[in-house]
Amino acid sequence: MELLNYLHTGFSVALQPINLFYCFVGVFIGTLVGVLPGIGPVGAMSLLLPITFKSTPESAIIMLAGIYYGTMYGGSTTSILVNIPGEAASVVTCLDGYQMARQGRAGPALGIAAFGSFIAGTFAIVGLMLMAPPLSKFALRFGPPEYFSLMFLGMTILIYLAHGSMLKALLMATIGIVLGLVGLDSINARPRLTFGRMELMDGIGLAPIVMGLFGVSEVLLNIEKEIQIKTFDTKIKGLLPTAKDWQESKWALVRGSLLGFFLGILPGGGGVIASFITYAVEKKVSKHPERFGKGAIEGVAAPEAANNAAAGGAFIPLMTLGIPTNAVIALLLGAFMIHSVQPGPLLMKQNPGLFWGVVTSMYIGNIMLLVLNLPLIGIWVQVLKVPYKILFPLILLLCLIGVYSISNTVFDIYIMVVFGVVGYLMKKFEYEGAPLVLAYILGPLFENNLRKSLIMSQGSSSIFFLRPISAIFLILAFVILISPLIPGIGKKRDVVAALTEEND
Amino acid sequence: MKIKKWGSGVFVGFFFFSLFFAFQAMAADFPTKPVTLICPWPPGGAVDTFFRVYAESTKKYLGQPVIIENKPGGAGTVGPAAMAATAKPDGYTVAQISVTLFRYQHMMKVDYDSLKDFTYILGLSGYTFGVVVKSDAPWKTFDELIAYAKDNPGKITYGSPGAGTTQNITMERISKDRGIKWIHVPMKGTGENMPALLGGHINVAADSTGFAPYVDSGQMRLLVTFGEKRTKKWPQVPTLKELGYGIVVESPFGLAGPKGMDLKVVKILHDVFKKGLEDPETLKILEKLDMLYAYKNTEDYVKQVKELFEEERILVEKLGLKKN
Amino acid sequence: MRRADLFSSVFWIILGGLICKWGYRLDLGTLSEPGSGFIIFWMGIVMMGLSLSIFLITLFRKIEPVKRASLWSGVRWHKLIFVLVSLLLYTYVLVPLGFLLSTSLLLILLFKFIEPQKWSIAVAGAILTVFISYAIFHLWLGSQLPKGILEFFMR
Repeated sequence: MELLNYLHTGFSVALQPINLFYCFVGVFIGTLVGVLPGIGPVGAMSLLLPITFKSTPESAIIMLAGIYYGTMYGGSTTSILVNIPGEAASVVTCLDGYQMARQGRAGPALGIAAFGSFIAGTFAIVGLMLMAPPLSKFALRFGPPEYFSLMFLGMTILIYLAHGSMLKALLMATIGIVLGLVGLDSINARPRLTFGRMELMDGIGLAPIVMGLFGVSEVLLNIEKEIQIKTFDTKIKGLLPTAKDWQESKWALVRGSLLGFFLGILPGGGGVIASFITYAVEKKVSKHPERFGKGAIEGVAAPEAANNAAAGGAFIPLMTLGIPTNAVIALLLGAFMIHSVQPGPLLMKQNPGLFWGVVTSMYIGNIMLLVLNLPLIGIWVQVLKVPYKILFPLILLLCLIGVYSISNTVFDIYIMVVFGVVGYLMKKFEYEGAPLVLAYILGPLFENNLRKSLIMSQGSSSIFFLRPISAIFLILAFVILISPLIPGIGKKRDVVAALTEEND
Repeated sequence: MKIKKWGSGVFVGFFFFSLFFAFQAMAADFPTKPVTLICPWPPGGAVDTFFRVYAESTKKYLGQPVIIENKPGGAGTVGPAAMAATAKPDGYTVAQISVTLFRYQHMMKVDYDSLKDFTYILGLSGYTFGVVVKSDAPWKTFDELIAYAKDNPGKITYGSPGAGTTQNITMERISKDRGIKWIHVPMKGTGENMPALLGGHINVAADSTGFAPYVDSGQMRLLVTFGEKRTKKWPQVPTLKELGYGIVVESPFGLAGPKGMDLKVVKILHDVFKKGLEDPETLKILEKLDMLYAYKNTEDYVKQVKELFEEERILVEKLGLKKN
Repeated sequence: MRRADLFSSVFWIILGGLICKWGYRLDLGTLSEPGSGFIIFWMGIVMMGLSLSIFLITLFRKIEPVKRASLWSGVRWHKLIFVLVSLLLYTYVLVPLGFLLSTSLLLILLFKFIEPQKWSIAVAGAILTVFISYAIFHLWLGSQLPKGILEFFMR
């Protein structure tokens, strides 16, 4: 009953015309920013922050939150259409999404991404409403040892990410880890592998790496050959997912939502890890794992659901503890402060109208996003009909502006071009980019938490086994590592074949 | 061929036009166009939030917009360093100068000289730092904590927002001065430091006012602050200076342009940014973010910069942070 | 793939060795207290191990599993290099010339020379694209694109 009261409070705020307007503006800008690679929610929100100075805190937060979850909807569009991941969480979407587009199934891919986003987003709001306080307590139990073990578990799923040679995938992962460690050592502020460049002090950015490895390299591969009149040989088949598509992806959506929501609560890129993990899980449970990487719709549905659910989950530590879990949430925290509202344990009591107003506005925003995005699919697939000779300069331009607008430095464009060449050579020599990106993201967290844990325990590694959550993750990782060796568990993956090469 | 000529004609035209406008600008008074303020931190942090409000208030007095440009990196040093290297000293580009600019110069090889490459304009503000413990921790005062740490070397773990941050350096100064041994766990920012303390993964946290909500809600206890005076918000909490540690840390920051700015332009910018700082909106956000009002005129700020530079040199040497 | 794999694995072995060296110089620390270079050093070792295995497996595998066309057959090198060089040049002039001018030039080059089209289409397409992207990114979303010598047009 109490909940109904709260909902009533919430909707009475969220349904005010001015707040509906702010919500729409938020999700609209969010969609736009999400579709454009590079410029992300952080940039857009900080620029719009001054506009909200004059409005009520409710309107301001509703709009800014709308931008945030709005970008999660649009993030997959360029991954699917032109192989440029709009953000880290969409790297996995490229793997099967782009392949679907090449087979003329861009419509269903975009469709399942939109519906998946809606379903997972709504699920996350319900979770946020019902379970925020207990979950925030659970998140606090994650200290350095728990993070270390989670990252270790994350690394083991590399096994399922590779679809070519396992040795080569592992090799790419080691390079990803090393790339991730460039910059100031977070333990002792010592520059590592910076070669005396100030620009490398904060490490190599994610955007130049993924846009180079995926976007630029794809363009290079396409222009080296005689360009055909059309981009893709096949006709565009259908705009929406078919009944068969739904059948194939329904459980992927459920699993993606659940994992994304819970991992999204954790500070430090939970959404990205969730998108990779759900992809691996889908491949593992699938009866046809060989379809992954060649346009399996589950491979789009699961990570897209995961990153939207994670966006919802990330609000829990902000609203209940006042802890920002990522840069976007940190910006929201700033917006709260400007309006003299202190998010944290007292928010629900002191400002029920704001708390529930924002939460319920997310329901409305999600519906708006679905209505906004479905008709757009028809427009997006037209992009694929543009002749490649016109399209490829535009793709390059998007990458250039995207990378520049994140850091405002041309150094990052040089990095992107270098990774474009690297990515091109990698495709020629049959190395995969996804394990590199995953390791690049997890590597620094892995190293940092390992060293922090050992500082805490004064050098005793028992800290990883004595803490229950950490121990569970390590056991899971161990099971994953040995599963290919046990017949019966390792269904499809023949270890010998995996370790040598699977040429298909 | 006709179109080719037409195309190049357009470019020549563009070029000519821009030159024309450039001469126009030089003849007129300062400022005739927006002033860019480089915020060397990513969007969304306390400093960024402050500057966005501050820019809005300053606009009124400047008669031109103040555009915030984020150039994050190297703990606030990449932005000013890039400005010193590339921007014209015409007053249209200024940057936030934080203490790290001086510290890094002593710690590692950098491509700027903070005493020579900048025209300092005015001092603005500083931070409130403090030490917090969980509210169920046994230590009621900072002295109790120090006494415990003295009797139990290596038992206390403290978190800071990162290695080499002012919080970290101050805690190390205290441990050096008092001959205690506590273990530093470098976190990535306040966002990691606070949950680590709440979750009981560390015993103590040194941080800036990111701890405010937890102190106000009773989940954490603030033991000491590092400022010159007690804070307005928590007047019952003593300062390090009062407790006899002889340490005052406020990490003041201000604005500077590239070297060689016209003194008239510096005067105009100083006056305008001073008015902006004293604007009620700016004062309100300073208080909300628990940042200090620490205005210094151009002369005093230049003096302070020299002092800070020297202070950081001594600290870096004393704590053995000098690299290679 | 055989020759390509041999080449690439040798490259990785060398890179792995370099990474080892860099990691070693950064202070390894101990197992109970890893230093700055610990993980980097071991990643170098693992990298060398993995690429050495690829090298040996490829070397001793007698038959090529699937025959494939050469990696480089039909590659239009000049086009590839043209695009890369124009990207690098663009990056070089982006700040001094500003977004509007340098991007227009880049797009004209790309439209005109990769798959030649009429000058009118190339120039008009480039200017239109630059204008639209400028409107979206700079005016609307407020990205801080470089102004360069046309700064009076970019408010």
